[in-house]
Amino acid sequence: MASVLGQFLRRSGTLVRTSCTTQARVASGLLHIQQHSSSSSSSSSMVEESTTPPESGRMSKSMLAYQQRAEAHDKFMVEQVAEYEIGRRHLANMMGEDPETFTQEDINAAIQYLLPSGLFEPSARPSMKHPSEVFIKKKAAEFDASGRPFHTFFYTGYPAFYEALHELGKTMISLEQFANKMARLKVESETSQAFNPGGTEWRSKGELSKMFLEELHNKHYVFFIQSMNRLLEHPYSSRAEDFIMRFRKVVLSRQSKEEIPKLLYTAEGVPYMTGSGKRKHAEATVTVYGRGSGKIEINEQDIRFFELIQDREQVVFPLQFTNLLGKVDLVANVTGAGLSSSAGAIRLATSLALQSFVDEHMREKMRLAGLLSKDFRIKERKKPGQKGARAKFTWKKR
Amino acid sequence: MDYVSEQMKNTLKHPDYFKVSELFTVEDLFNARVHLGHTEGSLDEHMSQFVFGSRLGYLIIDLDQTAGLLRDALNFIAHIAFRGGIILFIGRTPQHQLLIEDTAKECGEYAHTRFWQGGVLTNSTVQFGCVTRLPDLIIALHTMNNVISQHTAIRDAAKMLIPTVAVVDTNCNPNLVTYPIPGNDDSAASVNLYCKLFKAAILRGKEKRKELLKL
Repeated sequence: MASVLGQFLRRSGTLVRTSCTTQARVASGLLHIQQHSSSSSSSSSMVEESTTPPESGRMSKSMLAYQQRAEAHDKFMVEQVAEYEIGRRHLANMMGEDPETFTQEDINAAIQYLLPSGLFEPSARPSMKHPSEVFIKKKAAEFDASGRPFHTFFYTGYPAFYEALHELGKTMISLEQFANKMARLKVESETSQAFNPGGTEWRSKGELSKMFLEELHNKHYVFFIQSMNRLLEHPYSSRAEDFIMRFRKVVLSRQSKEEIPKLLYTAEGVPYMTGSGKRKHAEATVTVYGRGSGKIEINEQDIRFFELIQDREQVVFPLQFTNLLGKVDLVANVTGAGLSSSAGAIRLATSLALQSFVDEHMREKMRLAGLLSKDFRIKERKKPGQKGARAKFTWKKR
Repeated sequence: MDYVSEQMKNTLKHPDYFKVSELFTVEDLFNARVHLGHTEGSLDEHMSQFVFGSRLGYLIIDLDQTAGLLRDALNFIAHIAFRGGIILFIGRTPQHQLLIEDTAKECGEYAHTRFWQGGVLTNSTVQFGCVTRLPDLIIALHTMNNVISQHTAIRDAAKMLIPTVAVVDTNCNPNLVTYPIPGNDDSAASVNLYCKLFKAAILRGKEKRKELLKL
């Protein structure tokens, strides 16, 4: 098995070596890791002598060379993709899968199985990716044989980026004209015509750079976002939604993903919910009973289980916040040392249980108040050479 | 090849081959407020030859001189377009940025109304990462970046022997400009007129190129 694998990898590895990348090779116990390389070094090695005589001036010779380089790169990519496909089919056969339906995920799983790696860094482990992901995507030739650039804003250095800004300006002007027209006709809409930015956020600088295939600087990005925000503020910006959404990505809120458990009912029909929470080394399980009268029971004791007012307030706070103070009963069981941490654990458990009792709006308010977040703070360890976690031994000048 | 060079020589025999003088009149210039200059205090000494006089402290540009220089400039632009030259529009005022860019798009030429990177003309191979063909003509709607500093392209074009056509206001320095057009560069009406005229000249040149040289 290993010999067959080695043979296959060596075969597919030889051609790829010329372009400064090596697929995973197993040869007498040595593992070579795939490296990402810039395609510029590879393409520069493929500059060929211009065979056709120059038409006029030395410009066309370099233009022709540039075009030939672009063509060579395209040819190279076609070869790489063909090799990748052959490799993929071999891998599928090796794993006993159908080559037709062997996806990239299957390839990743197969490589992980065949060549297990204990390396920490994911990009250092062996992998087999599609050539378009390995070789950086470059812009196609930006001018024709006579040297005239294709894009109007070529000389700015960032044509695609400034094209987007140009379109932004035109959009702003058209929205202004529309607003004036609406004002003249005295048309007022009841619902807001402004773009709703909920659930989406601006793409990052890296994502925009990838989109435009131009390395943007921070000042470019900042100016772009400022300008786009001004567009969003316009009362009729929903008319430009298509343009705006090109530069925004959908962000799912974690809250909507998590399912809030439905209320449970006792034999008598009393609604209740259980929640569990932790704080430092204290663990609490709390059952909140609806249709109650505000009774609080902690480890079969009253609220006086806690002597400090602060701890009592911590227990009561979630009920106060959701206005359910005298309306629900609380039964808590807490283990683990420490009174203050027990109070914190009960607070978290209560809040999690109360989620089922309240509506979405209140749930969001609870989340923002920090009631639903576990307090992860624990005692920091003592370090050698120091008196405590942070405290140092007495410093002596001499 | 011979036919092309002969056609090009023919066009140079006529003083106004593309009839650019028909594109505007002095009255058009007046209506577009081209004659309105800045205050007397901001007058550049090299512009005093183009000044007609002043009224209530504001300078008036001599439109007869402007008309003649504008005709020369438009003629030159048309010839460059006829020979398939790359024309780059520049200007740094945000009010007219979009208009200049649109003008360039509509006549199939190039525009740069954004932050000017130092090596665009003088270090183009490094700037663009490959050997680039530089513009054959630069048309500047505004020669100044702000009230104080001049646009780098004016000086760099002179360094790289690229001819320039520029609208120069009373506070601008016309020295390095090949074809200066003394006129107001701040009013929307005047900038609109210039863009319209430049576009018309370029399109005329390109039309003749298609017709005569079949390119």
